[in-house]
Amino acid sequence: MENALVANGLVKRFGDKVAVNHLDLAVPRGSWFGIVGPNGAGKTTSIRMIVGLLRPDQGAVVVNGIDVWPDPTEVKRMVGVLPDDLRLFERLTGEELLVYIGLLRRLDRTAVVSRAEQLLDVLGLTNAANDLVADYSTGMRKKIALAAALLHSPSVLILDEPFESVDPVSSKVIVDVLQHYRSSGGTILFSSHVMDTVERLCDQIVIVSSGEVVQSGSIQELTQSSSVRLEDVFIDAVGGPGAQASESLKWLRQP
Amino acid sequence: MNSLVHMARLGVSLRWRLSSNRLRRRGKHTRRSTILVAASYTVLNAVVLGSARFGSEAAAVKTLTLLMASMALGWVFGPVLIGGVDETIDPTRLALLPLSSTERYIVQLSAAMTGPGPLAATAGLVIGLMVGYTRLGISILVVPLASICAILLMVGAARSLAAALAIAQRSRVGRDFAVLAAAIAGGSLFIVAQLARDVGARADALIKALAWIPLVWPARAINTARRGEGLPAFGWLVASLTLVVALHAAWIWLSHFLLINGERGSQSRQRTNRSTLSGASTRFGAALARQLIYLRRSPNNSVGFLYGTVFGISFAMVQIVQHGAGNGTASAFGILLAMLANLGAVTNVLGFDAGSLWIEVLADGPGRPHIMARQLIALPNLLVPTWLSGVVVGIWTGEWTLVLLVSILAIPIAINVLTFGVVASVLAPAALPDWDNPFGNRQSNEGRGLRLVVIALTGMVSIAVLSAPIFMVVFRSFGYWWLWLLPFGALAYAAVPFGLALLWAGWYLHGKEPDLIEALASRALN
Repeated sequence: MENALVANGLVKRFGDKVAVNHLDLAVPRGSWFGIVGPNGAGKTTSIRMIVGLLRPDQGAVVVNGIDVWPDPTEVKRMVGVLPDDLRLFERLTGEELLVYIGLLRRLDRTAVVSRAEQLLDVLGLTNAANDLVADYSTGMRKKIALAAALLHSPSVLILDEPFESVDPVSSKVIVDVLQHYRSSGGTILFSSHVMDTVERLCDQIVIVSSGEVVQSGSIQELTQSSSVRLEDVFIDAVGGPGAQASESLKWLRQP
Repeated sequence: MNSLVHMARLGVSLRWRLSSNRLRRRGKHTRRSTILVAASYTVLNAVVLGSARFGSEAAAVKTLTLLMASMALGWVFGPVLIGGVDETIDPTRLALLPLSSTERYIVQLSAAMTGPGPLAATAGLVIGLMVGYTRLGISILVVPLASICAILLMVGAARSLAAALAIAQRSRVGRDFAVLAAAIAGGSLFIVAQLARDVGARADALIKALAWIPLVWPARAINTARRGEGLPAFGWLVASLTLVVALHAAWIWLSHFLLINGERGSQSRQRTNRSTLSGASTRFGAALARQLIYLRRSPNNSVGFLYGTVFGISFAMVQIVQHGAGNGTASAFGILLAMLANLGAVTNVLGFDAGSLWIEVLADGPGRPHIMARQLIALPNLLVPTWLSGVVVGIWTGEWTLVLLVSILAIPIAINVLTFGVVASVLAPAALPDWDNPFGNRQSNEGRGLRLVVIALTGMVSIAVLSAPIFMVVFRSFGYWWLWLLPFGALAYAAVPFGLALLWAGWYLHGKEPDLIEALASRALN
């Protein structure tokens, strides 16, 4: 199958710390691809390098046959991004934010306004369309950021922890939108450490730990056709806690 | 009682830990320089006050009044102006702990007395007063008591002010009113300071005025005790003690109010009319429309406008004060100095709310349209204070024609300011959060103080050089009919470097967007 996105040997260092260490990815077109890993594994850093927000120290990223670096401009037109750290323009309303992003992406104003209204409707944000983003809840912020990522109908959607801190209702709305996007031929790359969600949605995953891929394959392969849980595979791959809580925290009991 | 002692120890340890961690994080040089500054401040105060023992009575009075007034102003306004220096100032951080009002007060009081600044100030003041102002007689009793009073007064005033400001900022009107009041107070002090520069009688008047500030009453108690006037000394001491009680009671009450009513931002729950970036259909239009929206909704902009207006008018008033109402030319051209009050907003347009920059980078920005929009939107903040200063100067000097000419010339001069702003914003951006606290120096504690000074000085020189041809032609054209056409020529002249700077900025930024994000929003990367 043709790959929509390929990353080869990505490396990023912050001072002495190696955040990402020769990371390789190959995301097939039309797939739902997951990057999973514990906190601090380098998922967010990898995604930022893939979408052109953070310059890698080494390695290359190719999206739809176009090299992201050194000039990510062309690739940014093809991808939609939902980052983990949702710093948005807090003093725009949700609708203004979408129109602003659409116009910056050189979309026609009429189309932008129309798409914005539809996205707000589908994502259940119509009533909050004229509220400032600053007043949005976490779930609403995720949804408005997802709308901003979808506005230009990207061929690849890259989502960093899209379900983190989101309530089940908002989560279902997001999943519905993403499934529709995928069924229309879109490719989704997303990071998470919620194994249930990953197991339910993804075709393929890579497990990342300390900036390196420690395991990869389809969900079927990794779970041996559901004979083991993905969570167990994940814990085996990244290593469990150093000490058993029941042994170390004996004082933590009620009289 | 044991509980209160325990709380006091906790407060001391909390502040000490916060201060030492902060210094450790800032690096060896900052740690050393902070310790050096604190030690120097202690020694300086001790020596200046201590040497009063050998000086005249009048000199001793002036020294103590000036020193205590400056110390009080620094103590009260320092934590407010330098955001984040003292985290213990905010009572809401203790909101979840099961503390009574008294316990919370003890924690905060002990923390307030413990940082490097308070310790340095207290040590210098107490040592200096004991050496320089204690004589046999009543002063043996009054000086120590008044010293304690002075410290408690400063702590109480600083904390009450911080709590009152936090309450004021719970609404937009309250915040803007507080900003306006602070700006007017600051502007007045600025003008008074210019007056005081003409030493002699004016300086004496200033010292006499300072002596009436309630925070300086302990100094009056000490000065009268030093002269052996027992009754007045006790009078001032009782007045000071009463004020201490009142300020600390206010502090407790205000903190309690904040905890009960919660701290909320001035932006809470705003629903706006539908504007959808009214009419914008291009990238530049969108960028400009967003900037226009931010001009109204962003606290930074409204605060900048208020500060700029008040200090701009103050700059103009200084011209009048220094040159006299008779020198209309100097005063009229002096209104252009009002632009300096908002220079910081122009020279860092990319650093503003830098955390959100990624969203523009992903949408193929920030390029020339963004830079141009961000710069142009600064024009009102440059021009309105200048024009208002012009009105003040016009009323004062009657030179309305000249004021009108300079007010029109202000437009091309403002374009020159923007030209420098384009270059500085691209070359030296600094992250600037769009937060609600209008009093905190948003670039403090980031090690950028020197850079800001360099940018400001370079800006003044560059703008002066760019504008020099305009002034030369205007001064040579006084009395000729074409004088009033010159502003149009100046506008065309100013547009050229502005356009070139924009072209250069677009070229310079291309491909550097990730570096820009890394530099400005590095905390968001990990």
